[in-house]
Amino acid sequence: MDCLSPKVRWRFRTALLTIASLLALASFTSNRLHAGEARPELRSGPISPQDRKFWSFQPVVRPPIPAVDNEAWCRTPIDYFVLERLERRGLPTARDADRRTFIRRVTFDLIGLPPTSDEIDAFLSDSAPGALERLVERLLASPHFGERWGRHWLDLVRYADTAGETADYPVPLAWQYRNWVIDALNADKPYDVFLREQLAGDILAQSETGERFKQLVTATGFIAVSRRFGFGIDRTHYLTIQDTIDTLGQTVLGLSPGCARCHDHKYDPINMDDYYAWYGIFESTQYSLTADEKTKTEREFAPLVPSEEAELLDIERKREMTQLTAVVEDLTRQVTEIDKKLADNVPDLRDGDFEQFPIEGEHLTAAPWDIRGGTISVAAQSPYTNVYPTGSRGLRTRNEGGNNGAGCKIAKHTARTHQKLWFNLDFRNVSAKKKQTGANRIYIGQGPGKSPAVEVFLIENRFFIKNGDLEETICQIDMGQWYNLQIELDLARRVFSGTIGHPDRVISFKNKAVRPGWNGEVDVIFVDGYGHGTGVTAIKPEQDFDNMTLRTEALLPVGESVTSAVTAEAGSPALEIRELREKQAKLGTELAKKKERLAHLGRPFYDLAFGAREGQFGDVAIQMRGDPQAPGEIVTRRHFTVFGGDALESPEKSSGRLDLARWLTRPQNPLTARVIVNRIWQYHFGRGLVETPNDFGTRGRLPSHPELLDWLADELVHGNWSMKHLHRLILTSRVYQLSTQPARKLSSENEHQRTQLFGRYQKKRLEAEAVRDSMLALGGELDRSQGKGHPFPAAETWKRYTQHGPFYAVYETKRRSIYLMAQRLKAHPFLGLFDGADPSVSTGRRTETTTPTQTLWLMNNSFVHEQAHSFAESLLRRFPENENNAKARRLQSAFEECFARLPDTRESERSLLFIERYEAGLAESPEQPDNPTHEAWAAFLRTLLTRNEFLFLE
Amino acid sequence: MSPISRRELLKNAAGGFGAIALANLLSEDAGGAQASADPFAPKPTHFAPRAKRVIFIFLNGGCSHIDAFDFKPKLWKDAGKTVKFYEWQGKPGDYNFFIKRPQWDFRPGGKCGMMVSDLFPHIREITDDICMINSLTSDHTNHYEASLGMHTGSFTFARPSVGAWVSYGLGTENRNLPSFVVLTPTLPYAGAQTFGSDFLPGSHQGTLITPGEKPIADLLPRTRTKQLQKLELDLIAEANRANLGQSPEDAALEARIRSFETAFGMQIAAPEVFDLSGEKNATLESYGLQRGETRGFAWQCLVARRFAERGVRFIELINSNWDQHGDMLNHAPLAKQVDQPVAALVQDLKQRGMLEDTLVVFTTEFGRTPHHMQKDAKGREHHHQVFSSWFAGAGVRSGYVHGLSDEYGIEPAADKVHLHDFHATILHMLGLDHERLTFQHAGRDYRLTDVYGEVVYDLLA
Repeated sequence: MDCLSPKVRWRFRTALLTIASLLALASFTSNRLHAGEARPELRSGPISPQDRKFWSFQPVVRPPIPAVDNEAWCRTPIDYFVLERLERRGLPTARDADRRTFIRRVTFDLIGLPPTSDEIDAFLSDSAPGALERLVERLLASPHFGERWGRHWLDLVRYADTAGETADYPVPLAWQYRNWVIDALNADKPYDVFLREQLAGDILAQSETGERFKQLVTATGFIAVSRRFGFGIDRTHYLTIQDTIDTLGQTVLGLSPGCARCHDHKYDPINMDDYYAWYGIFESTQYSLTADEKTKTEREFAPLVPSEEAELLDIERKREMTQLTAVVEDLTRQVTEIDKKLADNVPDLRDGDFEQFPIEGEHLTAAPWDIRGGTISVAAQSPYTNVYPTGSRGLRTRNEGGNNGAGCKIAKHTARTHQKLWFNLDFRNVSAKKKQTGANRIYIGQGPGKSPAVEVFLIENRFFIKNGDLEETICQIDMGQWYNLQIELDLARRVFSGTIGHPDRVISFKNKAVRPGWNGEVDVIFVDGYGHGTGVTAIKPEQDFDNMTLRTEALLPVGESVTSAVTAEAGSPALEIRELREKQAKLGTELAKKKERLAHLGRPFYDLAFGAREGQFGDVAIQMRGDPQAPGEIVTRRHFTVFGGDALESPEKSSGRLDLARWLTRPQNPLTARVIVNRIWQYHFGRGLVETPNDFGTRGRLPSHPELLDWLADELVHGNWSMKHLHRLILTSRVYQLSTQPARKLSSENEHQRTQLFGRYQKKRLEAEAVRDSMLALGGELDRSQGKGHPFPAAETWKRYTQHGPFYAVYETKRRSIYLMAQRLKAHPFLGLFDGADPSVSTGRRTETTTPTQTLWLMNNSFVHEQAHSFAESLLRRFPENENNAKARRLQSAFEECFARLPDTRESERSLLFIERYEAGLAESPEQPDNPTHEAWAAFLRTLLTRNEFLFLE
Repeated sequence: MSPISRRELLKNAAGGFGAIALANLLSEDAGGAQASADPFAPKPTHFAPRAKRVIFIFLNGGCSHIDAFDFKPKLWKDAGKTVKFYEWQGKPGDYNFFIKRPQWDFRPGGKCGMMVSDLFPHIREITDDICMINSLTSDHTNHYEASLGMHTGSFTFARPSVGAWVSYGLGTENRNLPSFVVLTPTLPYAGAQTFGSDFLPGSHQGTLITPGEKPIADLLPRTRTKQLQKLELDLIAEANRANLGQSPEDAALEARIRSFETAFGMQIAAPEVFDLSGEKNATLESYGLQRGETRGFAWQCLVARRFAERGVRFIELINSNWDQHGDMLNHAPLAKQVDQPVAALVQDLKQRGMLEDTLVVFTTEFGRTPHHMQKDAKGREHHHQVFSSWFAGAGVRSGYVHGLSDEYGIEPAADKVHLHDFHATILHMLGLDHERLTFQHAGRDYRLTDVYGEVVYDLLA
């Protein structure tokens, strides 16, 4: 953003460049201007009549359909506009593309996937008039249409699933807006309504209920997914508003009002007072707020029920919360009292009956528990009896630094002696100081400490494990609740699984990798203070441990009991202790249930959206030089001066978003319709009538066909803003059916001009999403269901994200790529590599790069190999070896599914030769494959999936 | 040769994939308007260059200037005294900060006698090859913005990285390798944006190389033998050539055909860069690298030299994390990682005659405060007002210290060098005029230095 005053010299040269480029264009498109002329000088100050004359600010006037010499060529009005220009320049049109090329083109354009053999057959054999229209209708009705075109819209509104501030916090509810866009496009929501709902859905919802209310509020995600900045987003909210204004301006108007934050727009007639007139509208809006480094939590969600209903539900929830809080307090008190009673009434015996034998006698090295820095205590007795009968003692570690814990050396176990071992431990958190930085570690392996197989960890509120080298949180831990942890270690497969929980709630984890480098031996188990954080000196919570054991046979689950017989004498301390323990366990279970409900009550009873609501209404002062600390004059909220500067209807009663949405979608607005029809044209032809889709200002390109642009804009508005109507108009035109191949060779100058004037269809590269989705589809692995949210870590664990270690994740899915998690600060590895949209800025047209690292992906990435492998499997299954012409039919099917055409004889021969040579090559490879035919076909399919014919659209 | 006739030649070329001659055919005349089809083609410079490539060493987190390169005797003398400010880094207030003395002694190094502290004893040995800047200044005091600024010239929004601009401006000398590589175990502040290409063509973005067993993704062929991969690539090349049309947009198809050659080359060339078995024991020892090690800053430095030898234009090395708020003594282990290999790299380049056309840049996002609000603080805070960086090689004025900070190292006192000037000077050494190296984006010509920057001619020999 050019926000500071540039040097004079620089200004001068930029201005010269502007003149040069405008002149170059002017000489090329000789009659393209409506009213505006090339304007060399930089502007500022009051908007002049000259400013207002620029072509894109003139009203849309439906032009007459021009006359052409070759009327027979034309099928739709679009064709007249295009042909007229070509004829005038004496340029021939290309031939029509054949039907196979056409169905591939239109299928990718509308749904982003290749046509299947059946779809191709149906189209080729449909010889009745209207075949093309029927094809277009089928595709427009596909649910995949919204997924394809929704992605284009998400590029424009720089959709992301993270916030973009310094730690790039997740925005778990953003997906609801993403799906709203997909559904709206599938339903052909009129474009004006589509815009009004995104800008002011919450206001429109005031007269609605139920599902309709929900949908309208969800639409305002458009505003809420604006980018966030800095350490604390509140301090930089003025930049977020700029991001909203600039994205809205570029997306809807093709203008960049964000440039007017610090000074009057240097090129377009948007001044600082215009910017702050819009700014006031968004300042009067309450955005849902992402988490950030400062607050660590999300705030200000938009309820998906009307406010009266929300209030009632909130009252009910708060009442229950108050009641329940009292109950929880009472139960907690009872539990603690029993602890006290036990501690007071029963003398601690040093050896007590803290279970002495961690493992069956035969495996014991006879070493007793080695206890360090903890106390054997009555209060630390576990209530669970799934391993030992009720005892009376456990180990309590202190809330301090140091190496507290206990362990036991046992005989050596290896995969040879035992395929599996079972570990049991009961524990609970007793207390924790505010600043806990350390964790207790639970260790199974060789050692102590030398070669861990399993290391799992416990802090005051969380249980986590090391899966190989990666830390993974398994669950949250409630203070005071006894947990039973069981681990099943598979020594042979070098994985472990387990459960953690209490009789009412058990969480399991499966097939986690042992620690890398484990030497395969287990001869020690222990709990100690060497957890994560700052190491052994760090402070750990006060914790109780009991019933630690390692067994060679599977254990009973928590809740069951090894013995039902009462083994202690009546009236003995052991029995008294057991009774108290059992009572305590029951209370504990009750307490856990209540706490779970209480946690649930922390969230509202109704669904929420990450969206926008009306805030505190008011006009704002101009921020001098863009500095919020330097207020200037107050500006009334209103529309841009160049569009009439209309005032708000009732500024004291609303933010003005609904007014703004209505201004933008007035049929008289000269830009809104022009900008969107240009986009639709661009996504079909690879290039817009205006080549700068986000810039219809003086720095943008002039339209190649201004009359056609206006005719389409008028059609859109008078066709009730139906975008599908526009798709039909374009896709059934003759222009859209032209071949990419020149009918006859032209001079390069003429070829360039013909291409610019759409006298030939331009080859287009498939976008990253289309490449990935097609490969999945051909591999038979595409999950066609609609995606929802992402498996983000629970919000309680977000504290750890900082600019030093921002949130970052890649979540695999077999769904369409639009459902991949879009991270704002770090591109998805595949989408980033293949020029996916940058989710930080509005992308009107993606850049296209061709890099060797992309090619390395095509050659060597496991995804391509997996898809080719399953594609080959399906071909071999469909056309088994013993069938007639199996090979030829496989080839035909493969070519048709990839390229929508059949191979010619030479290609077939060449392909079969490849397969033959490949099989021969496999026979010479050092390791013989199990199924050389399958491998050779997979290799062949890789050559189809990575060749240009697959990656480009003709 | 017109693009069409070149394409016809390509289309009709006999033989399969991997014809080196073909790659040459495509590259040599790729000047002028067709250059866009081949973003890597070598391009002419604006004037005679001093350097052909850059090795850019970035200490992420903020390396203290007054503990390393900017000797301020008064910090010892006045330690514990207070200095008063009425405004600190944009925030007004009444500040009394305590002067904190550096924890390392300074000594003169080389014939020039440049003062360097005991943090960097090896670098002190090579000061006769160093051009030190003690008056560098930046605009932001947060890691994120300052790192972004040091890499892209922009403190707010992501812009093309200096490495991407260099790749865009010069093209590459080796088609089997990317033109801009970034060797780092962890991303710096502001992440991949620091080596992004933003609006420049994506092939100019830094290729991330993560020290370890697999430094570049998807480099290993998955086919059972090389011959099998060759069979596949032959068929792809053949089909791609047959499919090549005559339209202007076929340039992209052509680029893909060639990228298969580069990628194929990278499978061999890149592992070869990482294969240190041919390095002499003495060389490894000079860098302080154990044989077989694939991580550590010494590895990064030696691999940087190997990339430089193979014609890579911009090689960035990142070391983390120098953000010592808690205890400045933690600078010591970091300096120990960096000091010896960096000195060895400069000497190694010199011995091989490569220092003449290689510019080595040693920098960080900001320095650290010479004072602290607490009297007994062990750490130092962020300090962007003035800090130190240095150049070596490629026609820089060696054995020279440019600019001065004030008596405590708080503000620049003479010959201030803003980071836009720093960038302008780096481009200048490569024969690129920072005002002429532009790219049109969103209707405006952009450049690395935005609308600022002056070449600092004093830094040149």
